[in-house]
Amino acid sequence: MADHAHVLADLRSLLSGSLSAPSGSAPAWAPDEAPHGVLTELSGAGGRTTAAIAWVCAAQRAGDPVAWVQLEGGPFFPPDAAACGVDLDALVVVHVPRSAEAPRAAGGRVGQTRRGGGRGVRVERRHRPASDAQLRAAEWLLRSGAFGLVVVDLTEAALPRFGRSSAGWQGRLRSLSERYGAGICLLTASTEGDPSAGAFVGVRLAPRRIRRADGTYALHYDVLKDKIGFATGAPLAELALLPPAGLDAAPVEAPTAAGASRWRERAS
Amino acid sequence: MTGGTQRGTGSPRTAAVVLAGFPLQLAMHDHPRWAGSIVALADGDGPLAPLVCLNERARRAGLRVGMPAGTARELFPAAQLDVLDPDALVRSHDALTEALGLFSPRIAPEAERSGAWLLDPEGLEKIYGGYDVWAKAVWSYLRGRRLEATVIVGFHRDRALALARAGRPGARVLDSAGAERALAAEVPLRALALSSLGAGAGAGSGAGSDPGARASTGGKGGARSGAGLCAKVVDALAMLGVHTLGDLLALPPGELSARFGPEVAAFYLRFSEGPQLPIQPQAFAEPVEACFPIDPPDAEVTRLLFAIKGALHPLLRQLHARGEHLRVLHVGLTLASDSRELSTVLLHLRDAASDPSGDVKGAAPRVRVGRPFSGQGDAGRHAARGAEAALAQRRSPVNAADAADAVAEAEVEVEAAIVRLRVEPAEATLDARTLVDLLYLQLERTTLDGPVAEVWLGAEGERRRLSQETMPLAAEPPAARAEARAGGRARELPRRDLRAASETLARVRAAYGLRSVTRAVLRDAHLPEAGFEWEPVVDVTAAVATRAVCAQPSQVGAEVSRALGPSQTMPIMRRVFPRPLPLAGSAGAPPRLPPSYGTGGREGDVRRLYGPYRISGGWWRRTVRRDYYYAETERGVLVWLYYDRPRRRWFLQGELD
Repeated sequence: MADHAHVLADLRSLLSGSLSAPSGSAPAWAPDEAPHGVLTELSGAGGRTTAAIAWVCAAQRAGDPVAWVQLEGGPFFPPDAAACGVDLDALVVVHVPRSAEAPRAAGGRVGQTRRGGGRGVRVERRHRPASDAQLRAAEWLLRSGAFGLVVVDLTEAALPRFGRSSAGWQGRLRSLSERYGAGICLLTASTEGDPSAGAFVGVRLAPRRIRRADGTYALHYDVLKDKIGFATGAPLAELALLPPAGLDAAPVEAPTAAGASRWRERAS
Repeated sequence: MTGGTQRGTGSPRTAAVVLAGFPLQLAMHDHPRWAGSIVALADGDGPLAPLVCLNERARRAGLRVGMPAGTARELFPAAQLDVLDPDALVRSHDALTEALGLFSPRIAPEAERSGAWLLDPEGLEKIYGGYDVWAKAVWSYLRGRRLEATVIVGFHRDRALALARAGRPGARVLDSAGAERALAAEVPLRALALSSLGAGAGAGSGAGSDPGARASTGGKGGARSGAGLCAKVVDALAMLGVHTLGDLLALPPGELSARFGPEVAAFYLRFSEGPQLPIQPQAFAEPVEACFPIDPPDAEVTRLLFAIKGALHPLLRQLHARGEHLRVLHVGLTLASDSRELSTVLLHLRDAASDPSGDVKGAAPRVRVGRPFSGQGDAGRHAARGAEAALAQRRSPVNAADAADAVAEAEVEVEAAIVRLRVEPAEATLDARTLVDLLYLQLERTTLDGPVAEVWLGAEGERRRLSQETMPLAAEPPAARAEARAGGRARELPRRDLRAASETLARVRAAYGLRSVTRAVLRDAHLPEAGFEWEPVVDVTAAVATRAVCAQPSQVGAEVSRALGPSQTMPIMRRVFPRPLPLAGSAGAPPRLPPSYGTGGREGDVRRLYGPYRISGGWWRRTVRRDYYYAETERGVLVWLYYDRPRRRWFLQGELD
């Protein structure tokens, strides 16, 4: 119990600003809702899903419909989202087939080519990356103007980078986001050292889960790109993370020669 | 009972068709490998779910209706236990009702999900050559679909139904009303008990009970409107020496009502000599459909859409005349590869089906004229050969049952071979442009193996509804948003149009499949992958967001949440893999994570391990024992993994992100 009190004291001091963020020189900062009118990217693997779900909660509290776009059989885990306060009944989850075909860019007929040029010929389809289909679904959702936030989980898809097609979908998503006052958030698997998804990405954040010495966790945001001053002047805050049941127990260290027996004890 | 041909008896005929143990038959139909095994259906998933249907082997082994599924699993680990799906039962029942409509225009299901139907065969004996041929055709048709039916052609609806329930599978025609009365008097009451309805009282398939019938009974009554007695009443009557229907009918009705209640008296009256109610046939809606050729065959999507659009308008006008809007548009595309071969067969079959001369007798159901009767590739050619064989057999009245089987098989193959599309707008509409737009998206993701030779369109309509008002979700800012405004960080809030959202979801469904737009529904289950399901969603609903506390927070987490308030805390989210990833490592050694968790292309090393937390579930179906851990890698990544004890292997369930 004493340990817990110590943890709480640290968290309180952290929230009041007296405790500096443990890594880097950037101040502790946590956006309470997704930026609107701009293409946002959440990178890294240290807390992007948690950050995105926090924004989903904020959008739902504001009364906005929210959609989550992922590949079929994607990693979204609804029980945790519900535990965060997400209204699952109102959260539309779009599953894009992994073999989905996308059409040509605007102006094209369909994503197919014909051999022979006449009637009665065999129709061939051109396969495109599944991420194209995800972005296309996101574009439709935004274009309806009915959604306040669309999260696109691109962590399992090869993201089209650079080039004309990249600029095309990015530009459309950004303009639709701006037009309808909606948030569009891309979850990518790139790390801090990687380039962003594209030039139209206005805000790029890398949420990091920080484990403190006392065993608690907090979410810290590294601002990798901020074209609109989203982070400027934001209030200092840091999101305290609640570990799932079981993660706060005493861990077993790596199975060195000495620890192998403990491993066997635990596993037996 | 005899199987002769009867003419001129004077009394109108009534036929009863009963599929004994209807849910069990459907289960066996879906799982042919279960033949010879102990099979039982439970009314729910879980160890305490009661068994509701048993096959004869299960009954002989000692299983009983009402026994918990977990007990049955413990007693017979090799038994095939399945969960009864009421929705599938209703769908199958409706499909069979429609299929039996091929044999008589007047058909009445005895009750929902009961597996029993009443048909009016009057006049059809002139087409089929006798009631016995007609009855055998019905029986053969069902047998061709691997369903064991009892078909009785009698004179009294309730007596025929009782005889069908108590009889063995087959087709029988009763000679006279007197014979029917005499045979019905010998039917044991236990065969008509509600717990046995649809099961043939163990005589036929030996199945146990019909939950559909049971579910449809109401209150404490001893009987229901169809035919059936409460098991307690049957026991009570048996103690008085009343075992058969004849014994019951010999009792004075007034005394029966006073002792057992009015419902038993009503049951008595249904079998007595009084006037019987005629069959209340189910109304069949005339299908709204169109079929037209594409000549020459074409594969170009734009031209196909243009042709379809031209045919859509008459369909929509038909619906409009009915006061309906289109809810679902079914599109069948016949590819040109087999069209020439199949068109000949189709022509013959259509001629045969409409031939009133009687040279096609007894065997087959009507061929659905106007539907695309072709396929693609080998399946279509095979179906064509089957259909030709069926046609040849139909012209020979020798083997009617085999001909019906062949037709049924050919139909199944043809159905499987047709390229079908289903267009479902966000709400019922008469706007052809919307439908063409959605159809365009479907055609985009459909691969056609050749040019289309024929198009069939079928429309499902629904009564016109009042148009939905646009719901301005953000018209009244919720409290949180008001706070944001006060804080000076508010943005100009647009109005959200739920109808536009629904239309967009319809487009997504058209492009990526009917199950691509979902919402999550949580289930009460131990295993993570069983803790939720994806449910198709059509409309967007407004969020009722509440700041929930983590369902199972850790001790520290709960205290932190209480101290800081829920708005400043957040549970760590987990990402789960669609299928757990097998890892290297044994029980005595730590797991080795994939290289993506390591550095320099090496496998990831686990530094710390939190756990284990043992989860056992589904033991009444298959043994699951998992030891769950959270593992921290050298790079600080947290993953969620488990050791599968029965399989002695590590699996990566997901990661914390």
